[in-house]
Amino acid sequence: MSLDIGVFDALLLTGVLLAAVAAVLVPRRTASVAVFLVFGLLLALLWARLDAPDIALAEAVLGGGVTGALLVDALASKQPHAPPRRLWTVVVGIVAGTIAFLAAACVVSRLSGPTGELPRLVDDQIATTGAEHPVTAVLLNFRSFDTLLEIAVVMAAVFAATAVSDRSWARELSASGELRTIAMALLPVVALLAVWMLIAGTTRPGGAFQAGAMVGAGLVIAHLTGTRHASTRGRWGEALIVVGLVAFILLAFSTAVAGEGWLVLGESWASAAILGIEAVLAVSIGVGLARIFLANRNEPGEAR
Amino acid sequence: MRYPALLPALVLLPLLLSAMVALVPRGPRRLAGAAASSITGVLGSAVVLALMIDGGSWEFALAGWEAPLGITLQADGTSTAFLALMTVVGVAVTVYAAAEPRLAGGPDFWPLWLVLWAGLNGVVVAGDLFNIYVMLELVTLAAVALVALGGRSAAAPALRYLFVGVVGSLLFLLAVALVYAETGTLDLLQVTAALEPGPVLTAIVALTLLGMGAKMALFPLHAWLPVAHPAAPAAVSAVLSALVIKAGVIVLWRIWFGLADDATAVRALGVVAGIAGAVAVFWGGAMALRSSRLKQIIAYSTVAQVGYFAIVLTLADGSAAGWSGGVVLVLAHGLAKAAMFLAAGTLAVAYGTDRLSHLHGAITHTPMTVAALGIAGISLAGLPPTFGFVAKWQLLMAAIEQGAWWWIGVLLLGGLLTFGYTAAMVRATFNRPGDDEVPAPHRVRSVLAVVPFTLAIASVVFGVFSAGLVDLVAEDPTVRGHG
Repeated sequence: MSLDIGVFDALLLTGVLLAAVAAVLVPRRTASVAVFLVFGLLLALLWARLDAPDIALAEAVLGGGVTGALLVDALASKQPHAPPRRLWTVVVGIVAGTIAFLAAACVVSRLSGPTGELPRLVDDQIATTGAEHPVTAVLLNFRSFDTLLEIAVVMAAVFAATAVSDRSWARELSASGELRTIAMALLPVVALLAVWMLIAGTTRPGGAFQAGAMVGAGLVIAHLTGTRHASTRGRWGEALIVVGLVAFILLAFSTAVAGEGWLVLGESWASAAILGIEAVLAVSIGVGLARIFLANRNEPGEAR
Repeated sequence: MRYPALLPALVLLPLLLSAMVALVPRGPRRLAGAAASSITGVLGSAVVLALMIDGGSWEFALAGWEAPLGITLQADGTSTAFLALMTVVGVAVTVYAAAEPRLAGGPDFWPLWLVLWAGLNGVVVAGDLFNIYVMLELVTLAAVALVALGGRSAAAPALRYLFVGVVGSLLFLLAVALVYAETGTLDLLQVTAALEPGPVLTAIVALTLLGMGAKMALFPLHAWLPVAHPAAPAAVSAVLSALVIKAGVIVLWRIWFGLADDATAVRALGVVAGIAGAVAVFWGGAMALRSSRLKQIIAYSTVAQVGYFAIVLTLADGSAAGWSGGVVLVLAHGLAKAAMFLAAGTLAVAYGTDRLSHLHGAITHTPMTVAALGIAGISLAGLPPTFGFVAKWQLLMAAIEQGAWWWIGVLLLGGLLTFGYTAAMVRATFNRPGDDEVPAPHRVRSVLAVVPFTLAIASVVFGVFSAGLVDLVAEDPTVRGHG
């Protein structure tokens, strides 16, 4: 493997590593969260440098946005200091980390370079998949089964977060006029971004997960600024959380029973099916992420 | 319809049912959940039967794309055996959980249980490495959430389990990434053919051993298990020990026997796994003997039994007896451990605690439950005519074949320890001398005693009629005989 790293990449790599170590080692929780957010940002940049804009986008909205919101919210109610770390755990961590890094570098340097014909196969077949962007073709046609299961993972996570909550989060928060004004300005932008990411996903980076994260962010903002019907509680919330998986599985069953086999998309209707499924998935992912955030807030009924 | 097309349904049907059960209001959800789980059980039995009649190995490419472009599901004799275990224990746990919501963690149990079942079925039939990773994620996430249903005291053990489970997944993901970088494919069969011996292969096998070792609680990565398994509601503990551990086991075995070669480094890994397994057998057994609560004893017993699954890596190396012994051991342990945890749950409801010191007189009041504990323990210890005996016998044969007498010692001493803590559990339920008034327990529904007893009996009946199963498994191409 050739190592073709410029100064910027080297700085970026060092920054990611330093931020990761600092996020674990700094004693104050607020500082820890702040460093973690920086880490997410640097990681997104790194993905972009590796020519993986889809992952960069996902990292930015999920790793930085959603996780960041969860962490900051958890900060507000807990004591500011993490329990003190013993010196030996730090030493063991650093030694183990160094050994793992060196071992990984050793193994990676022995890799026999890019092999296999998969990229060429994808290029050959992409015209029949109903998607123009290779990542979308892989996620929603070639390996759609994996994506379906990922949606099931998100659903299971929402079930889990709801199960451990006390189910008493507020249906509606009271908020000041200024907050409402902010919401009025922000929400249309967020909605527009979500739709754009969804539709862009067929031809360029974007797609259901990124759009879903925007939907989730929009719902959280709406709830925190006192908008009605944004609490993701109740039967409608549940229904919107599961509708993505249900639609995807029903598509799978109907292709198996009436079509050419499990998840086989016909060339003529594949692009419509992909866009439709992505739209439903984005809704489910968004409502699900908002539910994970809202279900475990510690101060119900109080807007900050 | 071609039979292999049934394979995706094993995963998709329980997932669909899970989503629908989640929409049912919390009051009547138990009924809906039990009905949905029964449907999943019927599907599982149908697929197992079809696989046994068909007698062959199934392969099915999803979305109409053959590997390497698409994802392939595969089923062989080993998958059949594992699926049968998932189905039998799954149905038993469903009946048990439907009978007593307190032992299942309430209405939240059902959607999560169906997701877990889908993931377990999926791990067994997955033929694509990344697909295996996603299935493991489903299993881990659902299992952690189910532990958390054990109430406030279960929160910390569940979190610890989550950390270990996720780290295990990430180590495996790293192995999968190395496989893809080296071979350009994720399909297990294609990878097996394409991967050349060398440091990359060693790293892949080592990462899988470490990741799955964490997930199946192989000594010394076991510390989370004796905390998490007892903290969960009893129905969940049974699923965790009987089934969830096995997801890690089958992934480790498939990678190991598919990819591992004769290199010194890989051999050394096998020795390390064997030593860890042997220590686990003794450590788990000793800790079980020292414990004073039923569920904790049974959890440490799992730590000990997982040791055998690691020893199989060495014993099944090129030995059909070792391989079939390993698979039968998985089934025997699954049945026995589910019976034990469910019986422990029944006793805990009856006596308000699972402390050994409070259970005296149980043998008079709930003889069937105590019998389930005892019979399951005898199967675990490997005494004839049980299922566990068949497994241990095959493993002994493999050890003799290889002239590896030390494994014979480990197998026999481990059995002795198992017998010891089983005896301790049963003895605690005897009436105390001078007890005129045997303390009367709370009344429990008889089904809570019948289910564990049936599982325990199954572990004897299958032992008597296991020859066919041993043949089915021994013919698997998984035993490549690279030794």
